Amino acid sequence: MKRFATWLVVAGAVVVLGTANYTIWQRQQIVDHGRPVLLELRPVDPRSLIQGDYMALAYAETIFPAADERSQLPRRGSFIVTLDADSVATFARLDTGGSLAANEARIKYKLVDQRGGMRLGAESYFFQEGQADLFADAEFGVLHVDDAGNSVLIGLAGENKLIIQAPENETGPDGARQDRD
Amino acid sequence: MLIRTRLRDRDDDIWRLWALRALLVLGAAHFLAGVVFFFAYNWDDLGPFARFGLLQGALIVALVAAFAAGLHRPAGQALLIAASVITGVLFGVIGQVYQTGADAWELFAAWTVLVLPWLFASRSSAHWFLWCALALTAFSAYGDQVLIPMGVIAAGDFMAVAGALVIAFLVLVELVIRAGVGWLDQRWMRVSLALVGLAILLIPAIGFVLEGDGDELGFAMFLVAAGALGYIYARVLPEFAVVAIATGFAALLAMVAGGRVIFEIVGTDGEAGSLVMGLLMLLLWCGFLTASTVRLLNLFNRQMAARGRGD
Repeated sequence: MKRFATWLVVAGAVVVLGTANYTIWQRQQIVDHGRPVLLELRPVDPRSLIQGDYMALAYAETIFPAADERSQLPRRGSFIVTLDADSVATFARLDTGGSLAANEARIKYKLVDQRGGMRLGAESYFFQEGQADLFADAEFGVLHVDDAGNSVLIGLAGENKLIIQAPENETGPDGARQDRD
Repeated sequence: MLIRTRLRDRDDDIWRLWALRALLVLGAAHFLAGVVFFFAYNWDDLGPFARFGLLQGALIVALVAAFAAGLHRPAGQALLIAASVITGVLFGVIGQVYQTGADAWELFAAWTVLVLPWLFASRSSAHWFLWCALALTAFSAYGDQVLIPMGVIAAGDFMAVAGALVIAFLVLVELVIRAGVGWLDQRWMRVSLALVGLAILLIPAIGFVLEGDGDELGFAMFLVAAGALGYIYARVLPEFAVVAIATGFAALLAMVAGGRVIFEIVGTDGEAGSLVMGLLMLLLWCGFLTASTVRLLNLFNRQMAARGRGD
């Protein structure tokens, strides 16, 4: 019985650490090698939803399949977007499994309600406390996607399509925030 | 007086040992608090991989310490519980660093499944109770994020299922105890599970009583569960606390039902007279129910005590 318990603890450790590190590796692959895709943020409610230290994201209609088409789709799947020169995405077609053109990317979606509500990747962006003002002007969500359409949200971008970085002088050397004015 | 005499009787060696132990505990607690605060304060400055490494290191330390302490002894069990908690933090941090479309329920579901081996290894009722809370959180999140918005199940029915699952877990625990697993036999666990299960069922039951439609399943489940638990813990496995919870919740439901009937009779047209009238009747009804519940519980208590003595 004692040996069995020992075996269980070790097996548990292998499973937990294995799953954790595999997940980390897999997602780091997407971050390092994934294709950048900019998704335009819907200019309505999400920006007023800034609360605490995260921002709810809602993407523009041009990224999604037509509304009446959506409720017919399976709950999880993927579709194809066309990318312009700045990697800004617009909906191209449903995913039929064929190969992608050079200016196309595959994105996994998930239906979240019966009315065809659809989610692409992260539904919210977490940032450090006190940086809400910085991200209030965000125009795009920046995702890295792999060939299968898995995505990791890398950050938010402003009008200039560059990822918004927290300026270094926002935080003092001891990590405490400085007064801004 | 007795305590004072005992204290005077202790010789210096006992006091020295006591002081040493107290200082050891105090020192260990300060050291641990220092470690925790150090990382909490510097958390923002740590890179993602430092965070992953730190948490995985803590996990391994907890497991090794659990072996050293003995897996089935209280310290070892506490360390295995700590390992289970760290697992959740680790996956939470991974989800925070890599922001994907994963739902919260996926995190909790993975957490619930991944810690199962340690659960079987630790043989600790507290660990199993924590696991039940974890599984319930995963299931609730799954309902909130998938089943209810996708129209698979109505919110009230989902609550009924969730409450029934907690009661089912309690039944399973009792069966396993009967099968000879003594360490699971903890009074606080059975009372807590009954309390949580019935409280969850009470919500749709009250909804049914107030609205009259939609939550039939929860209402029926509550009546069956409260009745069955009340009977079982009064007659078969005497545990007065559960009997009191079942009776008290049933009385609460009756109060709400009475309130609805009263205000349907006097009307809710906003007239001061009928409002006062209604409130007075409700007060009387609640007073009557409270007094009856107390008398009923006294009766149950005496009966259970009598049966316990073997009369």
